[in-house]
Amino acid sequence: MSATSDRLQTIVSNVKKASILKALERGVRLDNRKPDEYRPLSITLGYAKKADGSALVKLGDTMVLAGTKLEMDEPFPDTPNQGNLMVNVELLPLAYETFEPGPPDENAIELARVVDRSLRDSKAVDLSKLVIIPGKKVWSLWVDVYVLDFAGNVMDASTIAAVAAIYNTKLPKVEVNGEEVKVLTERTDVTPLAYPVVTLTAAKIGNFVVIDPNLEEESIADAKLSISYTPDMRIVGIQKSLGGAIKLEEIPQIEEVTRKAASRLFSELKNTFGIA
Amino acid sequence: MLAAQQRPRLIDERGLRTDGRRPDELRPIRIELGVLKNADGSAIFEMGNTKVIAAVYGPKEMHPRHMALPDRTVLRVRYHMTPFSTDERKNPAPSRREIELSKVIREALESAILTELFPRATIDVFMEVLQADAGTRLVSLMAASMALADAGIPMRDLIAGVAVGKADEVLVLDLNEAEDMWGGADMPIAMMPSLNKVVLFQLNGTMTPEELRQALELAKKGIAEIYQLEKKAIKEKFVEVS
Amino acid sequence: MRGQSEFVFPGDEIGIIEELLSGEGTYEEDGVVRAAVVGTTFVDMIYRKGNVITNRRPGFTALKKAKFVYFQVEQVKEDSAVGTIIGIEDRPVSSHLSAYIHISQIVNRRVERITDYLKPGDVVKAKPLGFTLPVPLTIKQPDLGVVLAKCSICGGDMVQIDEEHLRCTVCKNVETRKLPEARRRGS
Repeated sequence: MSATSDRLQTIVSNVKKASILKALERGVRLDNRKPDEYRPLSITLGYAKKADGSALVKLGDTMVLAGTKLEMDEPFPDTPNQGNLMVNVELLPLAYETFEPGPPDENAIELARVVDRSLRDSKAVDLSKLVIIPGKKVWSLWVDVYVLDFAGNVMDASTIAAVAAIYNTKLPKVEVNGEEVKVLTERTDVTPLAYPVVTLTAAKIGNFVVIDPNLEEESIADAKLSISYTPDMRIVGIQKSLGGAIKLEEIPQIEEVTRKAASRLFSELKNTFGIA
Repeated sequence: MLAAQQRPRLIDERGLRTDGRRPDELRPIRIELGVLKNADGSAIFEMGNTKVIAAVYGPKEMHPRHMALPDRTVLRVRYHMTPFSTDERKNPAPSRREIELSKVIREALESAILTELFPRATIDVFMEVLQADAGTRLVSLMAASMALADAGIPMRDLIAGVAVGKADEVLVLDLNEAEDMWGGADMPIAMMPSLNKVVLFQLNGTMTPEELRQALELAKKGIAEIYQLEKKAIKEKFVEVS
Repeated sequence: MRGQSEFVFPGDEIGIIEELLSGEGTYEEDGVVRAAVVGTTFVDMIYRKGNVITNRRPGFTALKKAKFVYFQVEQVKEDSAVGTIIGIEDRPVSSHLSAYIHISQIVNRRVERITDYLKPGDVVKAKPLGFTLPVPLTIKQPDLGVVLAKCSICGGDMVQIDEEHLRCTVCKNVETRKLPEARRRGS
């Protein structure tokens, strides 16, 4: 059962909310960003050495660590020529004062499913590359995204972390003898990532729209709209969240802003680690 | 059902879909209000073969007290599928999908219900999918909206929604199961039509930005049609009782 | 501006804020007054309020037009008797509905000890004074008061012996309560 909760609502006082709105009227945000600007982004590949692939992502103060693990499995009966992709997201208790330990709650589940859909529907993860013996043996790619510091917009940070971790994953070399598969310690230089995907989240605060909301902006936002893109600017996912409504005509307007921001983000990713 | 399926043709030479509909045609809709005695409000909403029953209890006092909100109502919303609603039996334990959809539906209802009117109280909304044939989250949300109207719980507007998708690259309104499974996109969208405001909006699959704009236009038309049917069903119920 | 006795749905425009205020069953947003429930319009030209009338009373909104409620005392504090509403007129209430009777709402004279009039476990016929949680109640009116009491010594059923006294059917203990006045013959 999903219940209204006060999780973030009370952290911003009315005085603070008024100053956020006042700044937006002048076209700036309290951290001096422009409305369509995202926070400083840093990506460290291979951060968790025992993972098959990993990436530590910092987006402003938000910090997310994603790690992948490959396991040999049988394919699902209705997809004999595809490997498997599983995405899990955890909002760790150490990420925010009021987070409790326990199984993923609806927020973590929503995050995981949106990231999964972005990767899957865009075909950014090429599941056919994960086949070892067609119909018999495939790789299951487990992507676990762990939110370490919850400081606003973990959605976008989680997508970048998942993509970077998958990019950092190199499939092991295998020896196939009929039905027997021997996994070697050496790695191929094949990554399951065909191309990156990004998610851009816009927050609607009153009549204003800001990209990559920080924690305070997120806690006073009426609604959020997260849109995922491929490098050729196809939209591969949309998720509206929070309990406020958006006017129908605002949607194409917001999409234009997120698309431009996506384009800039792809350029940055290309510079950072050559994927685009 | 588990064998690998061949992707069927979704639009035929005459431009008609697998169930004979034109691309901008809705499935038959059937709405019934006040179907349960115990609930404060209830409704059954059918769209094609998708059938959902919704019940509303409240407003009532929130327990445990520490979870109550000082300035508004807590909405407790549960979207759930019966095990026999799908072709393969669905395990009755809440799946990750049901958890995500319960949240998405709750957030849609938060936009509509005037929760400031009942602080420290709770309103429970339960939706049970009896038959699943694509569009279950929207049918559930609309069933809930009808149940809330039946109960007399104050809202900003009724909610009407529809899923727009791509069948063989043609934008189609109100996806059926085949189009949901094999089509290129699935965009559920729900609105408060009198206010022109969107309360639920998702996309899985792929669309170009241009297709997105066309899909929103198509959805708007479908939603306007459904809205009229909702009002008709409400009027029939309320006038019949008095 | 909408006319009288029109059938409206939530979201339907009733009028604009310059012509009408938002009354019962309506809400105002962006300068427009709209219906919030399914019902019929009632435009109050005297107070210039737009209302939508419905006969639906979900949950505890049934308190709004209730002539009386049945309240069970759970705890007697220094300044109030606290408990839950167990019935609204003839409708039972299934979940807990917090309510209280303030010491000043028992009788029209100074009360030294609430327990002279109300004790834990009593079921009381009371009238709501408001619709916030917890619900404030009164039993001042003559037709209101304790309708069911258990003996505080042995727990036995008590019966009325005069205007203010009850006697236990088991141990014969006599106690005072605020009791509803007996109905006059013929009314």
